[in-house]
Amino acid sequence: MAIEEIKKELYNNVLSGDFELTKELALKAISEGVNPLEAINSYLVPAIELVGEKFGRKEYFLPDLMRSANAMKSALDIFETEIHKSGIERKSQGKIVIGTVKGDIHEIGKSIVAALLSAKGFDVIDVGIDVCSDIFINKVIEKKADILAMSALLPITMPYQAAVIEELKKRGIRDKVKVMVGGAPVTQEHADKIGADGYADNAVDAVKLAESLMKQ
Amino acid sequence: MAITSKERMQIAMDHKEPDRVPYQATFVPEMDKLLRQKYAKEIERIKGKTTEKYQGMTELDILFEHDMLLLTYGISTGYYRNTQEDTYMDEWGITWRKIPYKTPNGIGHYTEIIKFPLADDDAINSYVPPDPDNEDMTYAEEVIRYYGKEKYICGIIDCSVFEALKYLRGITQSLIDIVANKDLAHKIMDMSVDYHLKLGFKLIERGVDLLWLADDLGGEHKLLISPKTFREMVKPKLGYMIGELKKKNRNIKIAFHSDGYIEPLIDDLIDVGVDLLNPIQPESMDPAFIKKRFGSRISLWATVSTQKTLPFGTPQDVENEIKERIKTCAPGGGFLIAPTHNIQLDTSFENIEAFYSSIKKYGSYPVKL
Repeated sequence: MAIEEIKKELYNNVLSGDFELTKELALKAISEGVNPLEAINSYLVPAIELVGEKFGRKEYFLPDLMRSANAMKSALDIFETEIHKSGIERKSQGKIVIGTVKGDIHEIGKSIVAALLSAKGFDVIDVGIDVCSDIFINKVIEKKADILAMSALLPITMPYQAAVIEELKKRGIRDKVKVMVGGAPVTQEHADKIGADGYADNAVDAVKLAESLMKQ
Repeated sequence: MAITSKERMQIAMDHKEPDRVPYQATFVPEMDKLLRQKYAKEIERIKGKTTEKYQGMTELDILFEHDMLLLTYGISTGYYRNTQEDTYMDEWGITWRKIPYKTPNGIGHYTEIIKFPLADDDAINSYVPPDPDNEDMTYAEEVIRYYGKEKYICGIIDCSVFEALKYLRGITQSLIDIVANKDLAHKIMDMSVDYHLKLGFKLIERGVDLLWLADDLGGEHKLLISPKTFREMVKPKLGYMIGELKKKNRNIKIAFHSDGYIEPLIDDLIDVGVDLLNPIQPESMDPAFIKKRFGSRISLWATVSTQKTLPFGTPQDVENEIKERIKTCAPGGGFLIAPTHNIQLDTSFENIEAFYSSIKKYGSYPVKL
């Protein structure tokens, strides 16, 4: 398979969400000497961005989005390992600690946001679901994170986003980290009320928000 | 002579106008308990079984003169269990956790699955599903014996196709399975279909009028899976179930529930023989539009917001919504008005009273609104 064809297929298979094939193509790309950074920026990122757009246009549904995100991640891991091996670091857009708040076990939205952020070059530390304040904050401190992103999928777990922000204030580090919030019941109004730095309605906008928070 | 609830529902289901719009409601267990306390004297006089196995109701159904009674069976009964334990496992090996929340009316609980028995790909090989013959049918028998002549009886065998896959594999995995592990998805869904079909036959033998199937296929404003995936993976199983149930008794009616936005699938549901669609959440689909577009071919059930109006509106808001629904959805029959979900614990008694009084006020046929 010619290099150009590998690149094209990489793009197409992220779009169609074929995990195995995407992984195989990423390995092939490496062995054929494709520049991993170029592969990420020119093929993986545009493909996953198109997936996000198609989801917004109701052409793609949750299963498509999840498959594409998984496929993209499988290739991303391979390319990032390769970049790391070569001694060059992929320029990080910023460090983000992300998780779903305590009492809440919903993971799909959070994981999709995490995958998209990784694709765009953020250093993502996913602390999982049902995450308590201590874990969020200790991870922010340990990793010197630029952004803390919290998801809540239930009206009754939304207040926990506020509790974590309060805890950041108590520990005197609120101004050291930007806080973004999301999740189905979360609104801009809620984000403003609890003193978050930003809110996004969907995964694509969450990435744009993270990028703009990094510029502040 | 006044007609019975059963006759009222039968007329409505035939897309004709009875004397008034039929109605019913269900409550979360904590609200059910509060209402039982509030109306303790009134329900003392009511005959019938005192507690339903999973979601006690019957006395309140009779007290509030609901036209339809529900009998809950099958995999979804794991959701509400009368237990003091915070986590429990049901017959399917599903582990549920009760999550408390505060409301002005006290502490409520909703339930979440924390352990899915078929989460591992290989688990299916050694999995033994429960035996439908172990389902205790005495509750259905007693309710039908007491009320079967007078009330319309709905047997619930819900969450039996795609929803069962979610319960057994996990929501994240099931969304992948339905497009990428199709053989496994078919195997698990077929197992659940067999179980619930047998249960449906048992309920038909006992004398139910309606069987209620359900699969949540909609998010708030978008389908969870594509119409193509639904048509390939879920619709044939629904069609098979409904066909077999109607073969068993050609007069049996079928209700189908999906929360959220499912407008692109309604024609498919009519196609496979669904007679009654629930709940038409007004936050997701406009009930007036659904009535206009599909109302001559499928009856509508519910439409009154449990997400906004009932918990957060005033009694006047409740009255306005009911007036609007009766005006737009009731003409021509084919309409059973109800809340779009169990009435939640954060709903005021005043709003519950407004729900019933407004239906009485505006619900007479012919509709003059």
